[in-house]
Amino acid sequence: MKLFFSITLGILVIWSLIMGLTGLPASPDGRVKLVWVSDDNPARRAQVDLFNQQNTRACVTLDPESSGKEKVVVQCLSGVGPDLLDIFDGFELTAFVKAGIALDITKELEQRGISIEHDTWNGTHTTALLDGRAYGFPRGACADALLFNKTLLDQKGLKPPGPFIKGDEFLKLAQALTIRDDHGRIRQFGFMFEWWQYGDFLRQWHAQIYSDDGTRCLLDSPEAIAAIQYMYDLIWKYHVMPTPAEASALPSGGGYGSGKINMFGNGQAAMALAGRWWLVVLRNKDNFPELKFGVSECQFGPVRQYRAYCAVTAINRFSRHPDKALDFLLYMASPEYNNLINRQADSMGPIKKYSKSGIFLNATNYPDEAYNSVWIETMERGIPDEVSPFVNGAAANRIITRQLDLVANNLKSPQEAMQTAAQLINEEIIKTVASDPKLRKFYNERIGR
Amino acid sequence: MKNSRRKHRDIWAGLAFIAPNFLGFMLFLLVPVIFSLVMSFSNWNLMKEVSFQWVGFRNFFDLFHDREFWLYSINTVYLMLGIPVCIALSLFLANLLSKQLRGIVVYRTLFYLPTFTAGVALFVLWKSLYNPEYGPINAAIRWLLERAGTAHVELPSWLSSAKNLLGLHPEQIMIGVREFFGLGAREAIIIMGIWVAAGGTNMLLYIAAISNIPPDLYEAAEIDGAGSWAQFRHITWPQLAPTTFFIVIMGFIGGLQGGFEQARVLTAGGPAGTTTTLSYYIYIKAFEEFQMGYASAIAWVLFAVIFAITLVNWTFGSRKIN
Repeated sequence: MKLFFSITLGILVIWSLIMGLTGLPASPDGRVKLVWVSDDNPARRAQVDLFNQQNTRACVTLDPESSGKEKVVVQCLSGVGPDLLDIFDGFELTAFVKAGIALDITKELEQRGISIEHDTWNGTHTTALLDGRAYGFPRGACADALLFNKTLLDQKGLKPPGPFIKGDEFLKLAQALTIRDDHGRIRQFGFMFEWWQYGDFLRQWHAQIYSDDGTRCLLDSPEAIAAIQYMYDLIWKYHVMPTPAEASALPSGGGYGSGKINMFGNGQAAMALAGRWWLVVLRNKDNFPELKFGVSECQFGPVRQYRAYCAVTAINRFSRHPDKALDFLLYMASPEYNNLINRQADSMGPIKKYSKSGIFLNATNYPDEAYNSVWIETMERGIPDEVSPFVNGAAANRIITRQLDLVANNLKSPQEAMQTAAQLINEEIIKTVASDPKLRKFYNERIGR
Repeated sequence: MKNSRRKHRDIWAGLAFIAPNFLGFMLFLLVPVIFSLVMSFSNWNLMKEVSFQWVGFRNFFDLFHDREFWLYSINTVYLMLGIPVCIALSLFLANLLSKQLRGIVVYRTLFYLPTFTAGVALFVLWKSLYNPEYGPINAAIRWLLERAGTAHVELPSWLSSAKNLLGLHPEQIMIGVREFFGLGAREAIIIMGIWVAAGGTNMLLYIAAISNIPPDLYEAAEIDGAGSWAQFRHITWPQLAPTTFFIVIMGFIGGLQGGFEQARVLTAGGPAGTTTTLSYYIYIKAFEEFQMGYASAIAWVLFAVIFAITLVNWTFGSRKIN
């Protein structure tokens, strides 16, 4: 027994040492295996496959199980992180940079003549660049537009909107497309959005979350209040949007955002504020055989601007193969990758010029999609989320979400909610600045103290 | 001499056998626990640009001025309101399942099933049950209301509602606020918790304890003419006191530490933070906001509270039992 125990222990120790020293085994053809923490879906797999076919030095494996900022940070700092990771907003970028995880690739991109500022969409910049340095490369970019169900419009005898509509026309359509049953319950909603899309509405009312210098939260401004009031009115005044209770009562599928996509695809909502990435699901005729839809640029508020957003892929500074991981980021700047993204409709390719080419505008595989110029227009007018260096983005987001929850449930007026949000975020700014001498100095410089 | 050598060898063998477990305990429990205590006095936040500093009791001081901490403490305590109901139901079930019936093992297994079903699967199931429009719970309530002639009463929205039975305000430490009266996400979690835990470990403990009660006591009581209720009140309940005491203490500890999975899977802590408990707040502070020092401080305050309550329970409870 003792002999068995000792041998087992010995084998385990030796095995652990070997695994620890060698890391991931190379692929059978001798290429280095890189791990990319990203969501696993058919589109992503095709993107990885194309790289693996092209590159002779490395091959990429997806690790969807480790996705989530908290897991990635802890894994990276403890030395067992992936080679490549995704960043979804400016706050996450700041967190990954400040934690010393995201590798600075400014010089490498410069050497290859790639400029994030000039070559990629404006909406990607705050997620890829920090203080003028590049810490990743966008894997796609998006700005939301109005999706409408052509069949439901036909049934109501309504003409589909053109490539650009304004708030009044939108509201008439939304009201006409909201249908109730005999009990007065809404059977079909005219419109729907997710509350985390509030940034779209803020942009269109010329509101900002933070002042330009980032020292103050401006959610209590009349513009921000008006934007949130409009969102509230769509539910509680015009009744074209489901309340949170109604939304939770509707059947929904699994996966990120797929509940709302299914609602639109199944005709439970006639219009939706959505990104181009919805098309990956909506194109599937097995799921939605009857669905025919179009896309319009919709200006709800007084300003023709949209919220642009993206996902950026960065290299883990502790990766054993940063040079090979860089190959993958450079692949994202290639025409092959960009054309693939544009074909797949997994948002839009990060490099602007490829999206403006004839390949994208005249998509032959999907002749119904004659609206690709709308996506370009919204991207051109897209503005990324603001980031304040003086507040923890996750804390600010939590405060805003909480207030929006109360507004959505009709438990607090938009004005009160935004005033509370601004007050709490400003308190958070003061607390953050007070706890960090370096940041305090920077803050004082900005406010001219 | 030979015996002593053999004894020595046995000690070494014994130590070798417990070494992996002990190393695991040291590495994954004791060291992190001590580390978190030390870190609770620092500003450690995973951001290497922010210089590491010892901040003394500042995290603890900030904590007591943190409104969210108090609101989430209230949420935690509120979710514990289900514990007495849960214990009563466990006792009731244990009583029933202690009877000598045919197929009793099958019944016991059926009631124990939720305990060894994966939490996430249960939460997804309950999410469907709580669907305000199509869920069977609201369908049953609707049916009852129609029979009672009060069909106009608004049905609960369950997981998407910030309402609660005490009218707690989601942002302020206030009770009895009219617009927040009703059934909401907190009650939904409490009911689900009762369903899961009633037939769980507590029930098994009670069954084991009931089987240890000497049958002579019941026989004597029967001879004296005691009915079922009198037998329960004067024999079963007092005999089960040590078990109840243990279950109450474990319930308190579990309740104060609980709520994380439900918040993470079912509600993301919402709506408006009403299902965020202290354990979920620790997670938010540590792994979403990276404020490890502050999160450690919350964890240690939570530990102190649990320790104090257990001590009080122990001191007064055990005196009563004895």
